[in-house]
Amino acid sequence: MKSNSVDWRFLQGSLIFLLIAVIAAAALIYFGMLYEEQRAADYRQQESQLRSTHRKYEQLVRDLGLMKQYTAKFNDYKASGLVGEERRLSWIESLEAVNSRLRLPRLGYNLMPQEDFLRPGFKPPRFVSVRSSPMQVTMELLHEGDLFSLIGGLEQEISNLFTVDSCQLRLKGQVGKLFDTRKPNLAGECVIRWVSIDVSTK
Amino acid sequence: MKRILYFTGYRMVAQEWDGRKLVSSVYFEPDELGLDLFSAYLESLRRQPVRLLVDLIEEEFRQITIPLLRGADRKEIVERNLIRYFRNTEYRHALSQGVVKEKGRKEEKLLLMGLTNPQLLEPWLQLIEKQQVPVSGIISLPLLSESVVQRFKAEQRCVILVSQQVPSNLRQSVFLDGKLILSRLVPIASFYQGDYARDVVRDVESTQRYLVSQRIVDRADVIGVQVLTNKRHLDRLRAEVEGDNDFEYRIHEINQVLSDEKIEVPEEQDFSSALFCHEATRGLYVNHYAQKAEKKYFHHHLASLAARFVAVALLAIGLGYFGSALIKGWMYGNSIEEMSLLQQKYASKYKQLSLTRAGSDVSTEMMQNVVKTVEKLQRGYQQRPQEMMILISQQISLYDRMRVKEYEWFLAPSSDAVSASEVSWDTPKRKRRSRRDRNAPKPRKGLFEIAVFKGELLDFDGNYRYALSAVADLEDAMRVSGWYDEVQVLKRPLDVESEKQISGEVGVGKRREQGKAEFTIRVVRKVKTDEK
Repeated sequence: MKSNSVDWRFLQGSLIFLLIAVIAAAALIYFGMLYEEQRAADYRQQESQLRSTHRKYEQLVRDLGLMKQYTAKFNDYKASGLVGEERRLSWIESLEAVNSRLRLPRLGYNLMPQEDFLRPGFKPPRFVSVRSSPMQVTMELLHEGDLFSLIGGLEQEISNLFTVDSCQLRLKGQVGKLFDTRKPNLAGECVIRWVSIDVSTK
Repeated sequence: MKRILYFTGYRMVAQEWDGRKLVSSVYFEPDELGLDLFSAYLESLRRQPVRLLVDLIEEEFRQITIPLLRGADRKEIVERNLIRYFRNTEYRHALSQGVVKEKGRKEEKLLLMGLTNPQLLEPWLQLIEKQQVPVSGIISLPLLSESVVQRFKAEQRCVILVSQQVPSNLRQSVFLDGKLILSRLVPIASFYQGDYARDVVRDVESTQRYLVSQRIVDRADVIGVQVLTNKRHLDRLRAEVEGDNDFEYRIHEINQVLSDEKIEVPEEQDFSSALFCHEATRGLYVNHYAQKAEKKYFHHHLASLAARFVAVALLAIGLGYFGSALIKGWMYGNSIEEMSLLQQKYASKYKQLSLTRAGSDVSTEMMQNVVKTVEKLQRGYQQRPQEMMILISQQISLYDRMRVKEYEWFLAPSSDAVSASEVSWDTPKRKRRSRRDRNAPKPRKGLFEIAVFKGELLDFDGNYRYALSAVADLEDAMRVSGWYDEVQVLKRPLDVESEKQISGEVGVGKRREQGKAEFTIRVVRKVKTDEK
């Protein structure tokens, strides 16, 4: 009686070969993937390190460029006293020096404690602190041009930054009378704000 | 290498073909020794597939017509006819020979054929099965000769192919329109001794008479006869058939045919078996009689081949992938090495450059910030009173009787500040607006220059109408100039507004008291800084 059933013994060799091939192929693919992934991870890590080093290098190059650009100015500001400790004596000396030329009948000043420099919308960068010291200046003037001369003289005398917060001029005599060239005709009062910059190195 | 088992009804011939070259030919007699040798031969094949070519007297052919059907119906009719004509054998086969139209009805012509004495094959097939030799097919020699006769390109509609594969039998196969319709193997005794040529012609004539009697051909039809013979009988046969008008004889010498077909055989052939055996090696799956059971090991062989092919393919894919991964890994390695060198180069340059900036306790960023802050302060936050004072002076100077006696200029974070003393830079105070203030412009935030100046008219003669007009003119001029964002008259020479009180004395002989025509004007200008 002829049988149609499958003769597994006939196919045994081929099936075992197939099984081994499946296992071997799977193993080859798995280890291939593992190896490739490992190398790819090494590559990515190295690439990241290179990028980081390159970024640092670029930053440094940029820094050096900026340093070249800004160091001179920064040192000038530092030397003039704009940056660092405020130089109150220099301001008073400057005021006196200007008045020695202008010869105003009276020039009084009152330098008040230092405070933050506040202006709407003005925000200094991080670690930079802008401070200011208001100086109340009272004066007697022959005419209003003396006020301009005083402010202009200060600008020339000292390279520190200052801004005028307010100025008040009051006629001393009667309206319509001619100015007396030997007496003060105007009383003035101004608030000058000396600006200085503190740098926090922390 | 292709292997053909050729069975003549008595002995088994095993041939091995390498393309068109007959490599070996081994004969096995149907005795115990022969069968043992055959068994050993099969074992030596190591499960290589073989084809069994049969050339038996006990093979019958029937040509029938059945209604043109398809699918299961056709299969059932074909099976029924096979059982009807070949009841006692499993080795039967039906071959479709085309469709004919009879009485307006389409019918299919079928050639039924069968091996009527399967017992002859049994001992051989048992050994084949025992040795698990894959049999790809059991092939009928007459049916195979269809392709042989086509190569002779006979012009006649009916062709008889005469061939001899063994000394004792003469095979005549009849083809109508190139299709086999019958074949018979007749004993012939004169191959070695006797008038062989006359016997062959007599047998052909006998076949012709049968064909005429069966109305397959007409008596007047010329029948083409293709005779395959050996060198020994060639001349005699040619002489015998010369002048015969009923047949168109063409005598082929078998060795010449083999040579024309470029079939290589080790020695000169007396019989046509080599030609048919070679024909049996052609084609992929030729089978006429082998049943499913006989082909079991052939199917197993194919499955085994497929499994091996898949296995090799899988291994190739695996190896290919692994190889590709190795190459990629190698390439990654190269790139890593290059990147590492580049990184070292950058690190070294970095170190070198770092030395040049050593010693500075302030970072570049800080320096940059400080410089930019100073620039910003210089640009937008160094206010002076001169400019606004000059503008106001210019406009007042147009009125020769107008004098300023008090001038106040100040900076404020809001446009509604009235005096310097009330300015606070910390948080601008929100003032409650009086009814009058509500008519004034809405306060805005930002940095503003504000000037408040008080003045009066010289030589005022009490003409308030003139004084009011002069102040209004100044106010208009200031507004029109566009130099200020706001112009506001805080005090007029005479407060004629409805909410104010006016008092005085007007009597006969009494002139209106001469007062002062004082005014206060406030102007506001927004400071342009680059802050957004």
